[in-house]
Amino acid sequence: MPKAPIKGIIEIEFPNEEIAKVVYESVLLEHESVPYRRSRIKFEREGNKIKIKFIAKDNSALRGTLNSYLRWIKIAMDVSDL
Amino acid sequence: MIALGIEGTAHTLGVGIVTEEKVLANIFDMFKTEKGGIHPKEAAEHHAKLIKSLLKKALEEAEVSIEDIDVIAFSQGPGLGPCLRVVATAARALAIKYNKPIVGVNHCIAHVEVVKLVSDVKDPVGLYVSGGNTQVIALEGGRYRVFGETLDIGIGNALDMFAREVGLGFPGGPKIERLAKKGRKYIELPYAVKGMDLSFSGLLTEAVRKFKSGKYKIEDIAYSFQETAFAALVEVTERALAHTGKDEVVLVGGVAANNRLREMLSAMAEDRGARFYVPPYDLCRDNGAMIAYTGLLMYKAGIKFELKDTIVKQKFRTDEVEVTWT
Amino acid sequence: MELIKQGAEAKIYLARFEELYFPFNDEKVIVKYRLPKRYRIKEIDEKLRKERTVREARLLHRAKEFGVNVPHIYEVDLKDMKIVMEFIEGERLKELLEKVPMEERLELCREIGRQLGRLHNAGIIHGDLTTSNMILREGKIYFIDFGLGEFDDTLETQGVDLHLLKRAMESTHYKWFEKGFEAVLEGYAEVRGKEKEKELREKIDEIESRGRYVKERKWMKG
Repeated sequence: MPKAPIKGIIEIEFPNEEIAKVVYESVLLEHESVPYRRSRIKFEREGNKIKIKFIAKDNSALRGTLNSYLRWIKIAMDVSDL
Repeated sequence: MIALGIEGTAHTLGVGIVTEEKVLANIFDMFKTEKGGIHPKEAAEHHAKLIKSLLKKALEEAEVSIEDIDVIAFSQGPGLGPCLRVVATAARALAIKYNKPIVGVNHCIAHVEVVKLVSDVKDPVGLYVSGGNTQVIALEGGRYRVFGETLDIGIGNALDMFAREVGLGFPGGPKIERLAKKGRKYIELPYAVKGMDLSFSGLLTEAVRKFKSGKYKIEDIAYSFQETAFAALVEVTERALAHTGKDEVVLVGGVAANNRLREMLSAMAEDRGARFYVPPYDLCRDNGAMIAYTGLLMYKAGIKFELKDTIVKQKFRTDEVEVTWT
Repeated sequence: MELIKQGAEAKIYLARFEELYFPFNDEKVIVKYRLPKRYRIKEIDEKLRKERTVREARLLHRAKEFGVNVPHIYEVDLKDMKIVMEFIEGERLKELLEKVPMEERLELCREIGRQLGRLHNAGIIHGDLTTSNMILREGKIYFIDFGLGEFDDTLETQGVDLHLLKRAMESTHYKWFEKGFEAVLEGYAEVRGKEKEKELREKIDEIESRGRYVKERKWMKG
């Protein structure tokens, strides 16, 4: 029997809209070009917040995908504060 | 003009800062494993962790601030997907945040282009040899044309895999080179030229088999491995020279550190009346300066990237790029 | 002996038959030497030069057996790594094809196709098919220069062989190459059958659609 999918939202709040925008735009292209297999992701920005909505078939698929997104977000934050 | 370049197609993360004339900074950090092999995810994690500190160090060493940079360049491919994505994301964030133009650079082309920064070599045939890549390339008709490339594994990986199989450890190149020096007897191994291209897997398999048979000395196998593989590399390079009529040869990529390969290529060049040049090792291996310099040349020639053009290209072909900057 | 070409691998001379052997009708010969290379050790150097000299001679021999017009071999010398072969004195198709009327041109192209069909039937890839490597002598088209030839009977390499010819014709005979290459395929189909020709047409399309600079062997010459 197929397991129930895992659903959720991660919301990241940035100090201001400008940073949220830099991060969002830097990561957007990766989001759009990632080959999805076992998980679906929605990647959105609202003001100073970035939302990652996800549905995944299993834990490990989800972990891998979310890791990538969080890694990209972290990088974009890191380098915009040199 | 000042360009900042980020390299991260494989295990090395590099940040370089250059002007038209010189390298201001060229910082590295390599993701290392004890046993070798290729680890895209772990390497990407490594790059992500270190990118900020490498950028800071490079700016410090170059004695410039991020505001002084005129263009951000990054290695767009070919390479390992997760690593490329880290680098592209970082480059985009820099470009957006500090409002700088961004340029995606082909890694293989950058290896050859950077030679022009440190020498008066103008239009060479390049033999680019590294772990994953092995290509003979030269400008012809406005593109870097591939005159021969490996159909399976890169020469660097072939050397590393052989070293691992015979218990020499990682990285294998320098160890094999040392052993080969003591080799005296040539053991016949499959030649690596296939039509116009190269193939090292047959050579690797046979060399390992010979070792496991216990009938041969490891020094002799290492010697024969190098001689056979390098003869093939030099032959393909010579053909490209003869075809293009060019009179300069450069050796680039991590395997350029091998002295026997240098010696062979240099002998071939001499016999053809061509000039032979190997850049300093820090510009031979994967490095940020080569990306920065190529990006600088591209940007100066008016090449403009929109954000949407910065998508990574894992299989970025050398001959895909129109070279309008020379 | 007169040096007429020096490639990466070999020196090619034109000589009179009697210079090498004995007086014989003013016959001329081609002498192809595969040169030793200082950069590689003697064991590898000799092995490669020997293998390649033998292979070229075998290719020519087998091509002839299958009815392809190729130069006759007079001598294979594995000490000096040289091949002495017939010099085909005639007109290169590269120039000839531009001079003749369309009708005749297309018939020559069909004949190229027939020759090539026989060559592929023999399990041989020429590797450097251009109209510079084809000569018309006494009404027969000869293929020359098998320096890049291989024994290979796979669809892929046959497709590459044909595709190279197409590309070569496109650049040399750009005014009429489309009709010309069609004629080549017609002749090819006469020898190898419609079915094979169709497979190869598809192969050529696939090679073209790979979306990259297709590798050419031309530069490997010598």
